[in-house]
Amino acid sequence: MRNLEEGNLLFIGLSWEERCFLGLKEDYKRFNQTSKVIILYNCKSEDDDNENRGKIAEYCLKREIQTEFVELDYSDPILTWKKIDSIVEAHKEFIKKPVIDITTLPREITWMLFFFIRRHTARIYYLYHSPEKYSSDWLSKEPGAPRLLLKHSGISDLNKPTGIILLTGFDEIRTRKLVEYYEPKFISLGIQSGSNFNNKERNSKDKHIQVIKGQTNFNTFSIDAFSRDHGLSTINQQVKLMGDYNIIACSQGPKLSLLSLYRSCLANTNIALCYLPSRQYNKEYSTGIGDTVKGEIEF
Amino acid sequence: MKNPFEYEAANNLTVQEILDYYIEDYNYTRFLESKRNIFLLGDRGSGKTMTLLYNSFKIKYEDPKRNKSKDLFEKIGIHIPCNTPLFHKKEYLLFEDDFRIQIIAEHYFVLSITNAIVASLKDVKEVIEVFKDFDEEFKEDFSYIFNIPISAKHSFLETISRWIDREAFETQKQINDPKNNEFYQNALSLSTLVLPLIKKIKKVPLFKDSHFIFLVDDAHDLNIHQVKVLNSWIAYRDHSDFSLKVATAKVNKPIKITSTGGSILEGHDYTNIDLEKPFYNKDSEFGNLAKSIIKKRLEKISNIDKEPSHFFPTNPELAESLEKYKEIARKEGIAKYGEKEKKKVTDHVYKYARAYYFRDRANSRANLVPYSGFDMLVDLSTGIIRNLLDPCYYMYDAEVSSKKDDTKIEMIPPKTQRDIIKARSDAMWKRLEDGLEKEIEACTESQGKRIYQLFDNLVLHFRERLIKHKSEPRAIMFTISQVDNEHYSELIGLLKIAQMSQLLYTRSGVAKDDGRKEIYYVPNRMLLPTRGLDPNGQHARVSLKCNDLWNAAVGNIPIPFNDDANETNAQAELFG
Amino acid sequence: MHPFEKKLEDKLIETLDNDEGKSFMSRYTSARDKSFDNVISQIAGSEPNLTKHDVSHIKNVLTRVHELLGDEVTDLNCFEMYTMAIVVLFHDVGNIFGREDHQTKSKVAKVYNHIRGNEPKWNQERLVVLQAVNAHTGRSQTGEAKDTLKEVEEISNLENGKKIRLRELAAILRFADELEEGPDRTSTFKQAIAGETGGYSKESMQYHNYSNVTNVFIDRGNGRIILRYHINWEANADPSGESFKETLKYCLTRVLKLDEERKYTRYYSQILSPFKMTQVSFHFTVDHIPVDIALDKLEFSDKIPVPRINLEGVVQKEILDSDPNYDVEKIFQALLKQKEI
Repeated sequence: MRNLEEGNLLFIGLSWEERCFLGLKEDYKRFNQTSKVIILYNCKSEDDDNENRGKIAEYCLKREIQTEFVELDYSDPILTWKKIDSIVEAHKEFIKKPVIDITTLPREITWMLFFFIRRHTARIYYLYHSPEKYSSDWLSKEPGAPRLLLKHSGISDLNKPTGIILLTGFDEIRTRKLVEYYEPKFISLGIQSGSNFNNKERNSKDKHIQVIKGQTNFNTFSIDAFSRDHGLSTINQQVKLMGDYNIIACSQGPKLSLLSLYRSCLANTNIALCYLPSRQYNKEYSTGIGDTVKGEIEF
Repeated sequence: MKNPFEYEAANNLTVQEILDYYIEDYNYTRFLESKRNIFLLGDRGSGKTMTLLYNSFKIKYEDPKRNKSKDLFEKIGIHIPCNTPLFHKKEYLLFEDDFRIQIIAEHYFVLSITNAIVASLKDVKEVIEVFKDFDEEFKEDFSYIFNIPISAKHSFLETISRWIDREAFETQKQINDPKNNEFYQNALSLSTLVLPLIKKIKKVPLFKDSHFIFLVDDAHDLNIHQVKVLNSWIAYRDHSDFSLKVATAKVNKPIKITSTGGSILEGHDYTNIDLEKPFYNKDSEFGNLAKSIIKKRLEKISNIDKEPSHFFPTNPELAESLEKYKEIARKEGIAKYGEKEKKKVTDHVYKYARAYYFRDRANSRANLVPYSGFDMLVDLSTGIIRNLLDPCYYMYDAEVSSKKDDTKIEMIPPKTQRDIIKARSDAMWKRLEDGLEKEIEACTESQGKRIYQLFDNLVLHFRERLIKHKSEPRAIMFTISQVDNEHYSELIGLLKIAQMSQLLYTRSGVAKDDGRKEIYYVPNRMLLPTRGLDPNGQHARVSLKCNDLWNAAVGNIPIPFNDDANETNAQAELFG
Repeated sequence: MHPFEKKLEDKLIETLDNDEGKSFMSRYTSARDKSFDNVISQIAGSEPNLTKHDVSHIKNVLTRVHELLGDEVTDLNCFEMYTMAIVVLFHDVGNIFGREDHQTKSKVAKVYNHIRGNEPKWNQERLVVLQAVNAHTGRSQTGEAKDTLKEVEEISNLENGKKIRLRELAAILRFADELEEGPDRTSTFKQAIAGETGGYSKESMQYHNYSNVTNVFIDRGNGRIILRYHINWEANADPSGESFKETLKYCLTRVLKLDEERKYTRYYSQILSPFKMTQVSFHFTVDHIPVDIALDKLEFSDKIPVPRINLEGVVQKEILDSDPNYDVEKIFQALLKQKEI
């Protein structure tokens, strides 16, 4: 087995999606010094993950990469928080070159990893693998109540109203849900630019506006999570415009936007990061693996 | 052009907007101004926040009707919204013991209340004036007790306000500190801060007799620790200086346990007030309220001085047809009871005229009923203000979009009304068909499917009644009978989810047979137009067996129809 | 199984191990089954006008005991829990001979011996039961109020020196019995035919009316007993309100009685010490339609005297009330006398 002290420590999220295992292979191509893979999985997910679990274990064994499967309860952020804390703490000696494959990790878990890893190192590598194709059917069901990320809930001013910055996704019901839940005075809807994955049709701003109009004030802005800064400067501009609000920031758009949202949250004390959980994802959510984005984030 | 029917959360309205839009109801004011603890129950959109805000000191003070009243300073309403980021913070749940969690939950609550008290008072001219003689003494006292920095520049209330801001900042900063999970040492409580502050304020002669009313909003959003804190305050022994008026949704009502493990009891520690009014017909309490709300909005926002029934006119064909069927039913009644039995004939017309019209439409292949008219909108609202404004908003929006100039919208043509009603009804069915699991937490895919099947069969059942039932053809509410069924709690689970998605409402009434209170269920009437039913139901509740409802939900089995007059519980006196 | 019984069984097994615990438990269950079948279910026949003293009453008193103890139930040792259940079981068996003096030791002993037999192994348990049951009402044989709990041994024991805080248990039994009140304790049918064959006697109706209107809630967490009265005025049948007023007056009397019981039993029981107050609210209906006359709730708590600043004026009188020999002048005269001797 490889020496932990010299290689990279890779975190990935277990999922039934093809790009979970295919992604790991891509990760290894880019970080072939990887000495250990920590695979986080949800105790409540069904057996569909087992195929990828076996493949990952076998793949790593062949290459003498250590593996550790860590069971989490994605629906319980308090327990998850404590577990991730202990996992990172247990590896603190070897965490010099951490890599997080954010592809199939929930945003909340990724942010938690950022938080704990930051205690030991200022630089984290990340990877994201697009799918070859998204399902044209529904993507997720059974949403939980939105929640603020622990330790990233911002410093709220008792005399300011609530505002939301939402990087919208394919599902406008989520947009409505967020507005109904927090009843913001204002919401700024970030719409992903470009036409990847039929984005223009599936994430048209009109459908989001349609579900919230009459209930709150809003504006829209265009953002590109695939740009070099993953939309950070655009988000910061919005934050500046919403200086008179306690901001709740949430991403339902491209996964990569979680990076820019996180960085914006670190830089602005009036932002609370918000996560919208789902208990069920379409098993046909995505197929294959497409482009890989690799980068590093410095805190 | 501003849409007069926007339903923005009341928290986001300006003082003037609240004064402009709110229609006061003295039934509630009486309770809200009492010294009792009150739970104000109402579903989403039933006007809870508006009611609380309207009774807050901030609004009362600006209301020309009330700011001269002598009791303005006797009852000081303090609005405390719980749906704020501060209340959504959960870091303190990381503490290992419940006691510490409780302390911080109370601390956040106390910061919000104190902030709301001083924010309500500190900028009021009269208050600034009367505090002048006491400012120095109070500041000094508080600076000793809480170690607050004082400055000659700021008044006592301003000093407290600044200190609370700082405390809120410091607490959040420490609790969010990435480096540690330390407990916040300077946590404040009702007894250490709020009550001493009230005592101080009451030393000022203008406030000598003041009773502070904490108007706690959106209590259903509180977590269990916050609820326990709130309940402990409700169970607090001496309510001469303060009381709580707590607004909450009917589903997810807070539990009634206090932080010491005790309980609070209805009728003893608090009184429940149901915000949802009788809404049975156009002259009911809700009918009148609806009329006033629409009229006021048209006047204040769009400068239109029109009766709602003129702004939302009924399709002439519908009006005519209904008259025609009334005449048919009247003749039938006279033939049955004789001309002298006027009441019986009127009852007969009430029961059957609309039923005959909708029955004929259901049997024919004619186009959709031209749903229209203000009374129809009131019926479709199911007694919820937000549901009333929703189709109005879309109708107004459609009219604005179809116009090419800037001229005023003087009325909504019946065709637009029908189209929007149909679209809103279809959209509601689509939500059901798509599965409520897409939008409601705690709803699984299989529950979503069951709820759809249940509603589908319920509406089919109502339709069958409309066509066949002899005495109560238009009953569109139900109670559940034979509840000692193994599936009862699962069925209630489904109904709760439907309530959370505002597809179903509950009311309580008196049962016909034994006079006990019973819950009855009212499906959102916006579901009815798609299926060609009449949203104007009649004074009757259908008693449906638990097992039949369960079979409908799980097996998609039609609810058996039984043309037995006894299966309904008519309680006309309960409705307006 | 009643939740208290379940806790008792668990505690016995936990303390004594499985076999011995179960065997100890069967001491209780055999007494329970026999007394239920042969005695308690027959009390209604002996005293047809009483509020219910049947099996449901025993179960309800046990529930009240459980509610009074709250989480502190774990503070009782397994023998105390056992004794608690046993004294609840036997507290009213004397009623089989009639209500009058049903708590007296000889009456209870008669039933106890029938259930347990006369074997010497029950001698100690019998003594314990008789003491506790005798103190569950506050009446002496002459009908006067009497401090009966004082007569109960503070610490006693079952056989082989199994220590129990008997006075504590007797106080809990007494208060639990006082709190076991409510509509379940009476029959609406027998009330409806009061005065007729099969119905309650007219004289006993006051007690049944009281049961009808009373709701007791034990709120240990908030340190209070809550009494809620739901009183209806039948305006047509009772236009002058006589009957209504009578019920209300009786309730107010019982409120005071209950609060005195609270203070009294609390004095003898550490476990009851959290119950610092009795709160009372009245809910009126006129012809069964609720009316709100904005009556605040009543509250009775232990009045703790705030230390007075100046005692000069009262000291001599109050001390003399306690013991007239403490008259300063008298004491001085006594000293003088001694000196002379």
